Amino acid sequence: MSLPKISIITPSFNQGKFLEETIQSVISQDYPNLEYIVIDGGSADNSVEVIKKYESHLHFWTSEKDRGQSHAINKGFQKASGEIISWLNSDDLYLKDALVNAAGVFKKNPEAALIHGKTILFGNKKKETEKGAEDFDLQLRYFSMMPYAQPSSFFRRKVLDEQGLLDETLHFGMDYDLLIRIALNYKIEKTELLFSKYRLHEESKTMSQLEDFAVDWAKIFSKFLRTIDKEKKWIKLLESINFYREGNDTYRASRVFEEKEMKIIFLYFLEYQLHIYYDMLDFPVANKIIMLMKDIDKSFFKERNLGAIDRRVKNLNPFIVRFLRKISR
Amino acid sequence: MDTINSILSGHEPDFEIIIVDDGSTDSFNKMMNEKFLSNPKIKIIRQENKERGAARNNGFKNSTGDYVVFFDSDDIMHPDHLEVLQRKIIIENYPDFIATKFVLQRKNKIIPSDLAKLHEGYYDYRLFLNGNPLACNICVKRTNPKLKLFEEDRKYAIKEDWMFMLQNLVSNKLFLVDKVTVTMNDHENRSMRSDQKQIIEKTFLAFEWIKKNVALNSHDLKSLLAHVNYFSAIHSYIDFKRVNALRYLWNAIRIKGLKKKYLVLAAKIIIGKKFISKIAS
Repeated sequence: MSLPKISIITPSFNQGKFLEETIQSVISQDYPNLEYIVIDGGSADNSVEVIKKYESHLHFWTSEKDRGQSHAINKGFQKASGEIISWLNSDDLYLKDALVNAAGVFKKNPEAALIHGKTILFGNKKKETEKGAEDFDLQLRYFSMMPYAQPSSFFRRKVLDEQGLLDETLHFGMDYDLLIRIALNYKIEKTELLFSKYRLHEESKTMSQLEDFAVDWAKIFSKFLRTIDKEKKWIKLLESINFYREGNDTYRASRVFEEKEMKIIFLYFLEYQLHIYYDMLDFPVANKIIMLMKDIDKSFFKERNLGAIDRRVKNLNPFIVRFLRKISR
Repeated sequence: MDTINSILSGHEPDFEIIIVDDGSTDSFNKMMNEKFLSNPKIKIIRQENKERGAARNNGFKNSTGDYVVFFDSDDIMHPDHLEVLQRKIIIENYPDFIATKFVLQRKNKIIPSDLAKLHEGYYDYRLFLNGNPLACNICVKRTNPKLKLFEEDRKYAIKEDWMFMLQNLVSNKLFLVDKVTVTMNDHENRSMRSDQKQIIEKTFLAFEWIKKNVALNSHDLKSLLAHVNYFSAIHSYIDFKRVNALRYLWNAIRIKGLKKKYLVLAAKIIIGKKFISKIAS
């Protein structure tokens, strides 16, 4: 059996303490047709030392100042020649046989341009847990959020050839942006296979980044709406809670959506944002999202069991919620 | 004044306020000018005293919005009223008529309106065969080509809302939002409660107008006539006209057959309002 060439890119920046384990997890795959590329953004820690140690296994590496993670990944994409491509961040890991299994899924699904499997969440002194995309409304949820962990996904290189490289203005949501481009134009295959381990960081660090993620996602979703919401119905609704981000760019899309589908996509996007703003303890914004969700569809709100968040946002002080979270940890 | 401040205090989208001053006194005019003339959102139109219907039509003709909210001078808008309307208009893909629910304020008590138990959704003229549960808390699409404005003839005064709803909702639908965003003052001297005999006459006049101007089928017309008689029976009862009350009630029963609410009223009429209010106090 001939195995397709797989290109993996690791963008790295000052994560020397995790980088070695990451590189080892790729090399130890022993995948015969692997092209491994590491793009470092000019780290000041021991990253370059680590990279040099494994130099003989790398097709290409560089360490120079760049314009952020998506720029680093794009530099890798430009060097990559594999038929199947993905990137693995410098703190995440591949599980045993991830690449050969991914190649197998692509072989069985020649139509699929992207496949995604499960991941194991680890780190931050928490119990390891398996996580994959849940099935409900999945084909629509691809447009609302990232329903799977990025390191457990692989895509065909034609995606980059036809849809372009990552959007370098995005520093947090580039994987969601790419997913929308793929979901608008190609078939996606979900598998139950475990591909990767996804590292969780300290709560404080994640919290500070949450808003950056939320802002990127709102920007991407606004672009998605510009692409398909010709009547501007959903754009106006997003505007009504100040989540819409103006722009002129749109996606290339080879599919249209029914009103019913748009409603579901929109509601899942709001639900996701609600969880973020609730986690950030920004209750006024969370409340605005709740009101809009209820106005659009009360039954969705109930079906998704959002009543508890609703009650806490309305009745509790954010500081009490923060305190309760601390002691329950 | 409170009404206008209640509108201005909302933090909603793009709106204009058109005050139609239906022949107020000079001192009131002066106060209005001082308070509101400098506000670019407010347009004041003056007309010699006509009637509510004419005033509303006049305001409508001077409006520029995509939607027009009719709002009487003794009601209070909650801060989210326009926002809720705007959002639901978008969600429902621009309905021709849209209304929210309201509560009544009687002295210091807040009382739910007859709309309270209705589900959110679309309704047509049948909601109005037993009177007008909406009062005039209504928002209309200004560009609706089928829209018919209010009857201006003074002899129909106080019934023009009801006529408006029936006439428009035979060929349009109304979207009712399940949210309370208006408080209506239910004070004792409300125009509805003054002269019972006049109210009854106007109701029958309105019925004749509806019969002539609204294409209702015979079944609906019967329901409407039963309501008009039942309504007149109540107002005769309030006015201590027991014979008249029984006569109207009998008409209603002949049209619609026996109904629980008819029997309750019959019992009240027979016992008499004086006796009932004595017990109640």
